[in-house]
Amino acid sequence: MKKIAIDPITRLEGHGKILLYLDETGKLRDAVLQVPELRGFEAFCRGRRAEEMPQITERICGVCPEAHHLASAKALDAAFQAEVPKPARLQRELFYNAYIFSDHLLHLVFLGGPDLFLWDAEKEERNLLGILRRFPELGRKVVEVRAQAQKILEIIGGKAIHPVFALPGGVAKPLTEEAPETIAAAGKAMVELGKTMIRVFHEEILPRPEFQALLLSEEAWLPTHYMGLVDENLAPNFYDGRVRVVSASGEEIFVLPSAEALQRIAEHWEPWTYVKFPYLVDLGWRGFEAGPDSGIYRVGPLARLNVAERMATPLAQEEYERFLDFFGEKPVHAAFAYHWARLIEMVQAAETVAALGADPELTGIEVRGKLGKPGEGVGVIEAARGTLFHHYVLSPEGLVEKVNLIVATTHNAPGIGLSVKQMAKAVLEKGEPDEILLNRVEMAFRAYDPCLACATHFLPGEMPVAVEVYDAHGKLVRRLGR
Amino acid sequence: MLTGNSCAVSAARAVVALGNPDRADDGVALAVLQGLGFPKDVEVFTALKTGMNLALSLSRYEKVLIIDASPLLPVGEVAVFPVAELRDSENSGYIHGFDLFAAFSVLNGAGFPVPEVWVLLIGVPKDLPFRRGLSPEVAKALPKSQEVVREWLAS
Repeated sequence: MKKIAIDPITRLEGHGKILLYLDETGKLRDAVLQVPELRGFEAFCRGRRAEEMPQITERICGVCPEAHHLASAKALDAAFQAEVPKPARLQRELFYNAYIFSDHLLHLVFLGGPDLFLWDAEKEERNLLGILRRFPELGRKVVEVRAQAQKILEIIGGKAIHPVFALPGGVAKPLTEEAPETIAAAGKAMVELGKTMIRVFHEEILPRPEFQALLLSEEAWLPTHYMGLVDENLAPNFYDGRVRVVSASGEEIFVLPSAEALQRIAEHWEPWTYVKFPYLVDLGWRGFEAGPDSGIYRVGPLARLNVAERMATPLAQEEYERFLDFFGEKPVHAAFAYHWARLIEMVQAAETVAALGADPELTGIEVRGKLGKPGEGVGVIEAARGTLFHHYVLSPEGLVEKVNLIVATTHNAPGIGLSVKQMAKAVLEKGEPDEILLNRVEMAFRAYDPCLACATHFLPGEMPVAVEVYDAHGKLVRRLGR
Repeated sequence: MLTGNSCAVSAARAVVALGNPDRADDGVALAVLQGLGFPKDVEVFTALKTGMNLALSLSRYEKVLIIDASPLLPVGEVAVFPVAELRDSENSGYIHGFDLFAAFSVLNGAGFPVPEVWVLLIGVPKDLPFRRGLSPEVAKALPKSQEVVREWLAS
């Protein structure tokens, strides 16, 4: 058996790889995403004061510290049976929607952007600067509005880089009376940019036959189950709600509070990797296969739209309806629909920021609820890339005894592997050259915006990628790279 | 070199310490900052990783010094150079990524001001476990690194 490793090299948080296993005849047998494991993290946390966890866990990941910070705070809310007062909840939710907006915008325009905006460009032009050259006004606007969204993170979180403000039971301080004015201006600009992005998507991207072919292509169609947080109206909620899982055919499997939902997820281990592969307990682990009998599910923007019955805000709802009209069925199983779903979510986040920024209770001074005795708590939140669980067990003294995190890319690891497998299989069967193989595999991988730090926010066309081909005995027989 | 645009930037400078103090020697940049005094026109940032948020935060400065850990330098070795040289080097060992260079390129391409960026790297082991505190080999590099920062501040 041969092995091809597509290996984004360097970076701090670990080493993510896509491994393609070929059989003796050169056909694809399997594809696996290896995500970096957090070896030693649990031991590091054990014995520390619970209140440290929102700061420690946000340093796990340089890409989405905001998600870890709030998931951790929510786990501690639960562990201390604390009610979060409304002003604190509004701060957290506003902050979080500003983060989702910023993250999705960055991905749509600059990280996944070349896949969307520069279809016909030469290889040398398929990068950030290529986007800025072709869409100078949009590029400038994106940077400007993203800076405004970042300002919201700074106002609430104290600083834009690795903000720290959430505590068990609330947040550190009330907002100033001046804050809503800045937030309102940012919210308005974010909604306007959302409208522009929708227009650009429908004028420049969706009409392209190549993009539509990719959206509807068989090799990108993966029927799995889906997981995401929903509010009481079954609309996506990034900050809070119940965990809803729907099947590959769209039936509800469960909708549960976070702690109960966590009981319905198990983790499969393989001897060749430290990575855990989550699956639905109700269906069991049946190997790396999609379909109605498999326990494999996916999370993230597409999953959230598939588990929802509607969007939470009007502009996002309009675009969601166009999305469903295009595909004609739900759930939508197209891996490349992740990009479109991200756009819809970005608009919902912008509208939510605008709405929360106008809430008169935002500047309320009651920002910390009373804490009970320390115990066990599960916090769940929708990170930009998907559902994020933090589960802590605390000692009676308030020290951490047990930590378990399930991050979005871990939920998606089996699904990403399956998408890559389908894409690579199609390319290999056509006998396409290695460059095409790399491009297609990267596109499938990138659609999920996987959070490896070493692989997530690489820049298309600039990602350091090594492709290694091994023979059946593990000997390196060729190496490709950019 | 990534040099600053002449328009619309303040005269202020910034020093950025990159790294995670919970991952042993990866926190060396933060340790470098300890015990240093900074003039009023210098702001100090700490961050886990580079990227667009950091680039936006730094775009208002004229000159920036980034301090970081590098697993490709010999452990305890100290190196300082303009960020453009890092970009040109195939094995730069810039542990927290090229994203900042790319992010500044985006800002520059969109007409935003961009600072002049220098990088101070300190060699660390490749394996960075979850642990607080520096290894003795890396801790030895602190005086020299702090001297480099002082020289940069005085320049």
